[in-house]
Amino acid sequence: MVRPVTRRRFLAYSLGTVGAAAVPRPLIASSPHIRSGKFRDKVVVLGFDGMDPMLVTRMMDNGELPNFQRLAARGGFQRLRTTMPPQSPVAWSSFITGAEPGGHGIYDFIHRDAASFMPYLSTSRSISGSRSIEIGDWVIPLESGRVDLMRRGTPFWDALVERDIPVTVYALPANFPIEHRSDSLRALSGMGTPDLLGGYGRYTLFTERPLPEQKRSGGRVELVRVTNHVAKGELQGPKSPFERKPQPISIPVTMIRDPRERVIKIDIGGQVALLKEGEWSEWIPVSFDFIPLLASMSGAVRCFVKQVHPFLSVYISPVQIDPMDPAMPICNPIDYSQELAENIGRFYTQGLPADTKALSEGVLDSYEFLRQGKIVFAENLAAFDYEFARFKEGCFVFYFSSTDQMSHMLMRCMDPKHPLYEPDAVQEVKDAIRFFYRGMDEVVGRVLDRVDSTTTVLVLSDHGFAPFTREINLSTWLVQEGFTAVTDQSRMHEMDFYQLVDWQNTSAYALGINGIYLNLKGREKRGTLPESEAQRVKSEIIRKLHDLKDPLTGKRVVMHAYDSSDLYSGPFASLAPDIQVGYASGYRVSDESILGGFPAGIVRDRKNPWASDHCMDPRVVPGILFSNRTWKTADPAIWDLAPTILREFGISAPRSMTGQPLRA
Amino acid sequence: MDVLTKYPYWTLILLSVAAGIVLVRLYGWISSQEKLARVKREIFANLLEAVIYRHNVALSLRAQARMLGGGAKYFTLAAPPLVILLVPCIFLLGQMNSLVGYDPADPGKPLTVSLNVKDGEADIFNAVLKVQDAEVSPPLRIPSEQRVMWRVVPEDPGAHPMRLLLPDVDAALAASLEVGTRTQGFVNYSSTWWLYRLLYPSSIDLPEAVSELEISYSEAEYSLLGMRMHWVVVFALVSLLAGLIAGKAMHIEL
Repeated sequence: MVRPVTRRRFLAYSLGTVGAAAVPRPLIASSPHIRSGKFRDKVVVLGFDGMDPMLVTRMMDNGELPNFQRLAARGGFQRLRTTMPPQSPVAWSSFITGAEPGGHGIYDFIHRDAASFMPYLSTSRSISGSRSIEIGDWVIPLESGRVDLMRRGTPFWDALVERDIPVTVYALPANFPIEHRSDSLRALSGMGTPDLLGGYGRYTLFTERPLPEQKRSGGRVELVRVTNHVAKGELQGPKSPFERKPQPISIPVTMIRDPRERVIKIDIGGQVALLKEGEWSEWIPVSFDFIPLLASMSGAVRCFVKQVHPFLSVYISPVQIDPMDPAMPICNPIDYSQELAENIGRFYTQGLPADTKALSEGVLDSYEFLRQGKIVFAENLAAFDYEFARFKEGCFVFYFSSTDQMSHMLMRCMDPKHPLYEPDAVQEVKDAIRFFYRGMDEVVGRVLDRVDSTTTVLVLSDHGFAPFTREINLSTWLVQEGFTAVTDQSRMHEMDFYQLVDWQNTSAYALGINGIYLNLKGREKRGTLPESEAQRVKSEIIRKLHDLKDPLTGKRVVMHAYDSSDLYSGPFASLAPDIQVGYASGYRVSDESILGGFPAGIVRDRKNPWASDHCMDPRVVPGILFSNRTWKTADPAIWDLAPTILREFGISAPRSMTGQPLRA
Repeated sequence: MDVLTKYPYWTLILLSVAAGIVLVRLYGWISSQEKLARVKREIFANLLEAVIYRHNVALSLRAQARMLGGGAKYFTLAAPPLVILLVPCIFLLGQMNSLVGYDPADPGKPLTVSLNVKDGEADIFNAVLKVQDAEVSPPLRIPSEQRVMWRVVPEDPGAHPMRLLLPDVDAALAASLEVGTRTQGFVNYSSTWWLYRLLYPSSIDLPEAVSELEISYSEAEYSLLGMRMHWVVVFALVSLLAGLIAGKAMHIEL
């Protein structure tokens, strides 16, 4: 079979060959980087999402993190001030641009378009091609759609690649789609990268026995009938862009189990895996044909066999963008993901690879989820080893998501006092967070063993972690306090997405994890609140939030509610919610409230295994900063690091960067 | 032979060049070279006529009609020898497929070994596969297909001999799992089907009760002009180029 050569790959080869032949030698020699060999300095940045300073300190004191200790001894260890809100897309955008949120315009995972009131994932937006021809049920697009990066500001690596300084940026959040820059930049997109269906990842579970009824937003549960030990199902792929009423393209899945042994053969579109119960498969490439032989999309999945006998149950991961033939702009240069996959094997390309929804929705248990997390980490380590081995000079930035995703779901299992502690869990689950922290320590060790004295090493996290045991229904609270009006309070608990909201009489509404928006006239689609009333309403909400107490404990639920006009400045400050809520330790908004649900009660126990979090007041969850340099800046912030990196290369920070280089 | 097995890329190039030259030589012998040369000259003459007298529509159309006839005549002359050459080609491609068509397994990566058992010959429920220095899964038995499959994870590079235990039979399969490197006995498939035996006369013998053996090595890909492609495409391109050059050098009408 001839391997398909994509148009982009063909163009890359052709242009590369012609370009190399066409560029005169003096021009090559005049590249400042090659000519002078001036940029010998190196900066290595390791980003461990959500690594908590208190746990790090405790583990260092116990001698469990010898390499972190070694690094701290060479330079120092400080707490790193994070953004408000301390959410990953916000904080990493500040790291990338060297600016507070007003400088990059990312304020939450979720934003809303004020004019249309449509919510969207804050860091990128898909825009369909507007021109097409319709013939019957078919649509022929005349213009391709595109994905836009919504993070504004200037990434620090722009100033480096402009000077031909090699930069590697691996899987940083808020960096999808990857915009084509110079070939000096090797970049793979991170958090914010969707699965092949365009969302944050949808699993499939084939099961012979029905699961308990539950609202499932993270995937699809398909009930299968097993006949003669054979079960058939369908794996849903993306919707065809060539149909007027697009339906998901599916490929057949056949599962054949042994009559007695706990072994199963899974055939997905002709690709076969043979697995034992409790095993994960290797990556299985899949192809969704929109028009056979003419238009298709490549993906890859991993399967996990939960049970073979007596009831068949097989989990299929969300369909990843295949790094061997990426359907979306996930890397620079365009064949970078393919190069990686050829050298380390296929890998998760989805920005949030561990399937937290599957655990939350009872599709995977804690141990199964941990096993998946370890696969993700092993892939990251392989990529790190590959990239770090070829790193000789310039700037190397490598990001790990495991510390964040595993902490969200499994930190509760290391604390017997946590209400959702699992006393019967295997020790591996109870030790999960320590395992990943020790894994990161190993990564730090690999860096320290190789770097010389001219290299600056920065190890940071964007925020820490805290237990999340009580959730607040912020939207319901706004109804209770009279800021959001609904037409029928008796039915509002069953409704989603602001159904039953009486916009005429609404002065404020909650959207996202930390945000409250005023329903301002002239700004919001159905805005009614006059500008003259805005400050009064804002102040009243803030005052009441400060007075809000947990009826169970009597503690304050909100550490501080921030007026955004006091909090943000910069060219994109107007995009911010009007109020940002800094929850107290242990509290966060409920999942239903994030997108306009109105659950019953105001403060209630958290039941979801996602029971540790960081979307609280930034003072509760600072990040970490380790370095082999001693910084004199007493209270460093995450937005100070971009100008610090540039200064290490002798480059002044651009004006858009409001952070200050750390004082050495 | 061992050198050929170890360096599949150069084996492929070498065999493609050799095949191109040999096939052209054979074509020269079994085709009517004089007639071919005459037909080609006629086609060329008609082409010239059509170009030179392009302002005379009738003349030009007649020349084009004769070109068409010449093309048909060329086809009738060239097709029979090509059909004859297809026979050695099929044998060659079959042999090359087993030589360069698959990559050995990577250490630690799973492979599937699949056996079809002859009807009534053996009880597949008691089939056991043993592979030296490899982890073998329990069997997956599909009675309706008389098929048994195992997943094998070999840890170390090298050849891992396989042994099959069926009721009353303990047969050492002539095949080994090839990990990390190829050896002369690289086998990805074998069958007792007569046509297969005809195409692959040197393929391994299977135990009496087994009709088919398959090992799921991944298909090999080769790089040519910066693009990775299936070996048959490389073979076609290289042998065509070699054949064209050889045809010129040996004055063979193609």
